[in-house]
Amino acid sequence: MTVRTEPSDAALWQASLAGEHDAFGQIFDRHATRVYNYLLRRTADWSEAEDLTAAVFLQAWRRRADVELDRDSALPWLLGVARLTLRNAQRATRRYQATLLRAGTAAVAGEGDPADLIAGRIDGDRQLAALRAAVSRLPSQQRDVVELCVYAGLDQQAAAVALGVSIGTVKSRLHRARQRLSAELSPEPTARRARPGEEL
Amino acid sequence: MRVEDDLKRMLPQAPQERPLPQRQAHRANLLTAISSVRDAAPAFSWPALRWPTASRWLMPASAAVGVTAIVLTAIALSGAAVRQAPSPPSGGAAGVRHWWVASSGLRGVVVRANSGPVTVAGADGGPVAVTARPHFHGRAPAIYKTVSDGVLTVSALCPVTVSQRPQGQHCSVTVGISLPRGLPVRVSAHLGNVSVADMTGRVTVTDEFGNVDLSGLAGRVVVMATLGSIHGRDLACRSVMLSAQRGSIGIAFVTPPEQVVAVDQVGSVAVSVPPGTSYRVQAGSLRGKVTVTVLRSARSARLIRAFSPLGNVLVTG
Repeated sequence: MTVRTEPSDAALWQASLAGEHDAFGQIFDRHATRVYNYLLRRTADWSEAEDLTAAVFLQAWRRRADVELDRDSALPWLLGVARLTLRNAQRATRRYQATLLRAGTAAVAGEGDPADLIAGRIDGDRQLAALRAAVSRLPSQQRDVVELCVYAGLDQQAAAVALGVSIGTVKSRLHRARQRLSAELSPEPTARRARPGEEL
Repeated sequence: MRVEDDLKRMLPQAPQERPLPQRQAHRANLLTAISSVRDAAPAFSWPALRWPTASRWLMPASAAVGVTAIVLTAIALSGAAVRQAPSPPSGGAAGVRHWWVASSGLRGVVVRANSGPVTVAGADGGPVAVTARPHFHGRAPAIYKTVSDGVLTVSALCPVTVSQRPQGQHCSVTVGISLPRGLPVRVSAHLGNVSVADMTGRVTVTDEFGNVDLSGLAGRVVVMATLGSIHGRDLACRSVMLSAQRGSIGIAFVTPPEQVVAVDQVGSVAVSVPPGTSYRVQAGSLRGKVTVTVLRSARSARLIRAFSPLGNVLVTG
């Protein structure tokens, strides 16, 4: 019996470093959905997240020599590239479009059926708006770590790779985010007790 | 309990993860893009050049040679400017393409256009008639058609779109198609308005930058617009699904639809249906005003879903 195993991220990245485009295409296949959903949660904008996903992978290709794999996964590093790309989103998208034009590729929508996308978009929009409102109450450093550890599903070590900080920093930022949110959710400390027979 | 779990309880739930839309198209574009990217860090760098220092007595002489060279170059360039410079090719009426394709063997039509307007009009029968009129200065567009597995695909693709014109180049193609109204049609446009009229077959449109105008449609309609608006009138469709990001959505029906989904991100949403029929209505907005005047019934089989986080939502009937 022949057992076929998928090549690891490390093997694919090694091949990408050697200039093999198809290996990078496999990296894209493997992680594009996670990167897209990360960007979607951060931007709450469907089309911007889609455009930025492509820009993130182009940026990752340019910087592929700088990759830091986390236990053989390139995802944390890719999410780190996505986080940095978000800081200058418009420029990144324009740069990607310009590269496509130079390469002679015309930007044309694909052939997928958009009906399912539209159907799921109403509920998605509501949830994304609520999520953004909640997370935006946090300072940006705590927001980054919450997004990676709570929503993107990275553990603390992987989040440290994505953010380029130590695990200790990730831990302390998570604790501070929890303190801040629980302080906001707890009842007002100045609220007085009800007197007997009185409703507050 | 882990800190992450505590935070999960405190924060709202994220929407379920969904696949990247048009992943294959993005993958193909990405691979094309990276093949044109030069690596940031070259494996070999040339050593820095250092000019040998000249003797002090040579300096006046070399300055004189430099000035003479500049003057001679200026004279040569001015002479060249007087001569007629060759102009890049431009498209005129001669570049217009006409095709007639027998519709008997067709089961659908696909239009791919990345720059310029697309007009689709249903007819009582006859062949599919295509007119593609290029307007360009510089690199010419690729205009071609293919028929594969019963699907006619018309492609009008500019190498440079209007929004990204380098060195004065521009390119657009005006595409007009007339086809039997029952034939399904899909239009994928990038930069340019799309207009579809008098069709009874299924209509699917995606447009990145242009507006989408629908009139007299009776089949299933699915439209996604990114920056433009979607407007529809005289619609007799049973099912309509519309999504816009920045522009507004406004649609009016002449017969009661069975299902309407209209979702916008920033713009307003307005749905008008004939009076006298009740609907299950799910209308909402986070920042905008929601107005529903249509007859509502929670048990109705007819459904209208209209939502815009930032824009106003209006459902009238």
